[in-house]
Amino acid sequence: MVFSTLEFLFLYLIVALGFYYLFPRKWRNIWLLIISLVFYGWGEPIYLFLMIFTIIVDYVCGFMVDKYRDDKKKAKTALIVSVILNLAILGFFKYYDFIVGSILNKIPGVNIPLLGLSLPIGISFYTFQALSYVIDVYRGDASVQKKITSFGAYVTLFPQLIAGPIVRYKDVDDALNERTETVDLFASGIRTFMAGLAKKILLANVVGELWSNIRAVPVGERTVLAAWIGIIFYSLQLYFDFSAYSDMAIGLGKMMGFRFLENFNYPYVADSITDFWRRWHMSLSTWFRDNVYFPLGGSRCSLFKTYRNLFVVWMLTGIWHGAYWNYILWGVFYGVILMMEKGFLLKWLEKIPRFFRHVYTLIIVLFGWLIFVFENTSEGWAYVKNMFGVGAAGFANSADAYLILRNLVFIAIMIIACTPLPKKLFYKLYFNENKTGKIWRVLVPVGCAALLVVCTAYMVDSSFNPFLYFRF
Amino acid sequence: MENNENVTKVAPKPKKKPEAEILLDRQIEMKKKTRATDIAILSVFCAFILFFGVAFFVIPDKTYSETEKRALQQAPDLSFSRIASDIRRDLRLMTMTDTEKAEYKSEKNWDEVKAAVKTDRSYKDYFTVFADEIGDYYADQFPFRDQLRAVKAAAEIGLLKQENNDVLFAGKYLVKKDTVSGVVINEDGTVRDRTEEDAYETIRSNVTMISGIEKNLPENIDIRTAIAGRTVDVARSALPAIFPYESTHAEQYWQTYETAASDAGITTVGIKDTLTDHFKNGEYVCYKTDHHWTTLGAYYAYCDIIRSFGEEPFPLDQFRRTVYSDKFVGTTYAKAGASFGGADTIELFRFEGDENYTTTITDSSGNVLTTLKAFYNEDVYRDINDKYSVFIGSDNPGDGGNNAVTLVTDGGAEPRKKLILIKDSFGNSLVPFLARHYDLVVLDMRVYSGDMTEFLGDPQLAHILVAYNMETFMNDENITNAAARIIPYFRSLSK
Repeated sequence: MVFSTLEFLFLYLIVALGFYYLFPRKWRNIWLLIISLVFYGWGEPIYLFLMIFTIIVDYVCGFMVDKYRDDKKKAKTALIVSVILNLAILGFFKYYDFIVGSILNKIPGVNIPLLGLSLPIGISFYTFQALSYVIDVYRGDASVQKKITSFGAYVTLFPQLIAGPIVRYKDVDDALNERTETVDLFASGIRTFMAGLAKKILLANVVGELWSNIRAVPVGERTVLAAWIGIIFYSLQLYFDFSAYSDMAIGLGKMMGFRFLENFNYPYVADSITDFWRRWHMSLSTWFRDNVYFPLGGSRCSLFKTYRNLFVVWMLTGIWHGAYWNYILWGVFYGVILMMEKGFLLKWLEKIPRFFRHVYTLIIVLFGWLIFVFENTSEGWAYVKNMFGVGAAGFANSADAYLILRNLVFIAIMIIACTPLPKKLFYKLYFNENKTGKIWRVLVPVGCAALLVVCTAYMVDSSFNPFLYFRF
Repeated sequence: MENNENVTKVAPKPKKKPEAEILLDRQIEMKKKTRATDIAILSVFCAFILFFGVAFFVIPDKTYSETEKRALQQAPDLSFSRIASDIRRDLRLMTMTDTEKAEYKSEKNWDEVKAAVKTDRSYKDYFTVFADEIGDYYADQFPFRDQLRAVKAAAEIGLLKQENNDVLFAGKYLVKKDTVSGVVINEDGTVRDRTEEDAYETIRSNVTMISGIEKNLPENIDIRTAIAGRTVDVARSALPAIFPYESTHAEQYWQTYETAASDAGITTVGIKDTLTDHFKNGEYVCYKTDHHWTTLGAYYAYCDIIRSFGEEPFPLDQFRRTVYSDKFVGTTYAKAGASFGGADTIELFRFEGDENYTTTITDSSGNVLTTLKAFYNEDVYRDINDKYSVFIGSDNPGDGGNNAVTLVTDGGAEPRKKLILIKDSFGNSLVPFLARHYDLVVLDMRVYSGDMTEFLGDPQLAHILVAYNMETFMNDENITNAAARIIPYFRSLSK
């Protein structure tokens, strides 16, 4: 199931929240588990078994790790079993066909049949989340979860089940056992959720449709300008889509008393790639930092090893996103840029005006997405050539002008929405001590209602509602 | 792994307090002041989702949307027997030959075909169908759907986007930009949307079919085509200045049609340019909210057509123009959800003695469905949305004016020369004009499945006219049906 649908908002959410608050506290985690499984099984029930298997494996492993806390060897065995099983499941469903089809079968004489399995939704997210539990317990960062229902609720928690943020167990350890749902947290959750819903429905879907139109233009008919606009639109779609999903997840979490960490911090205002990756999909970067980069020695070791660690982490980040060459290339691309920044680029960048640092960052990011978006490398290559005039239908045409002119207001809104300005302004007014604050606080519920109406209107009257992160 | 805890401790951590936390602190400070607002937000949100959530169940489902002119998704059948029947259907499809598949295609609607031709389904597709249908069900039956669609249209207009759902706001006129529709089933069974290349191909093949008919006609019968412009062609002068007309491929469609027709030596009546010129002069020749031509537009087309037969059209002042409805809101409005031009007016061009004419609507086997005095079914369509079907519309509002066979006679003692009109809905409003000159056999090949012998064998038959709108001509290949029936008939005669 996806948040930005009518049946989620006007059926699922009512049932989920309604019973959540009707039930006594001790039942709430069980209810969360049940309703989350319904959410997950919606339209694809068979992988529920896989999900339940994952829950049991990690519950048992976590239990063993805790039980043999004093016997390091046994504890470590339990940890390794969990890591291997989780990664094996992920590897099998996500990478089997890639490894066989794109690597092994390229060897002459080898011809292993492909499986063509559909990827269980959100497997990359919940596998990492389940793993973090066993690891956190092993490290002593979190206590063991005795109730399998509560642990199941953590793994399946519907807000972030299929597209993150990847919640580390230690961050919700306490909340899982005891949390207080309050009016102001709920209201804050609604605000966050609404911001996400609006971003997804009013921005991401709309700009996404523009991008898919540009992408669908045959190579020889696309102009240079259209190609550039296209990839810029895709960058905006991806950010709005993904960050909107995180916002909605965080908002829904708050409605039920959970506080998840932010996943995005205005990545497009970053002034270096290092900065960008501190702002984009923070929960994934943190996961890799804690569970791969630091264990490998991080940056506190020899220069060679530091660079090796960076490379490994970025290679894995790339692979995590999908079983295609372009994702690996994309990961390596960032790995190399980050190494360069660490080595010398950051020092250079400090000397130039902020504006140029910003431009530099955006250009790199744009090319990053260019690698990211085309799983089919020949399509991607043709598109890149278009951007530089090869095989393009001239520099620009009247259709481009029309595209830009009719979307001027929309583009301006999107650019503003990429910056922290709206949020800052909101809080400035909302928490204002004097009269403006008062008026604003009256207006907010009204605005909330208006936004709900508009978002519902767009949901009712549009067929374009893709879900970008379904395959991760 | 042993040493990693050390590393974790010394690893640099961002020292600055995160913005979110600062805000959270302030939030707590302000807690008292914002409490009323919090309660208000909470109430608004819960009331909103509850209201629509409950209204969705309480308000009875509709089967058809008058405003959008389409069938609405009904509550999906969420049962195991449904899955079983889907599986049986697919097993059947997998063993079908191509001709069986084509037959299956003709008896089912496109969406079903799209879903059905995919034979490489996994178990999963049988469940995603439920999820998809529930999604469609919610969207189609959502309370206040029409009003919400208007809100979206207003928002798009407010953002100066010039269009909504691919319909352009061209001043008072609503103009559909892209008229290619339908899907193509690839050889491997996958389905894709038709493109403009497919449309060119369809135009060419339609012309080829007509040329094939012409080659087999006896000398006393001729065939010609009159292809009407779409609103985007006719109302070209009203399009926004920044709108790139060439991106609609309109010129290519017409070029393709004209080249193909002149190569094949088909007689064409150039009604498109006539209407475009009249539109430029400020005349009301196409509807603001619908894709059809107005009765005036049909009149101008009739003049061209009748002249091409070598006859003189009746002048405009020999018709008494009456208003049938001034509240007509048509198909383009249904898509756009808003307009700046208000409702349209449907006129009827009455003439002396037209009440003596008889219009008989039958199905393909000749069973009479409806008989009309003159050509208008005024009562059935006055108060429903589909007012254009006042022209030769049957008594069943669902069928409108597009029926298999419609026979029109003047009620006189002398039999007149006959004209077979092969048409889409644009032809419906041509009928009253043409009927003043000929007895008509009006055939809609999208519905008709008879064998035509009785019409073709008529000694009075003089002309066959194919009157389509470009949108139908580029998407619909049912003229093939006409060719498949006409050609063998005349071939068998000449033997």
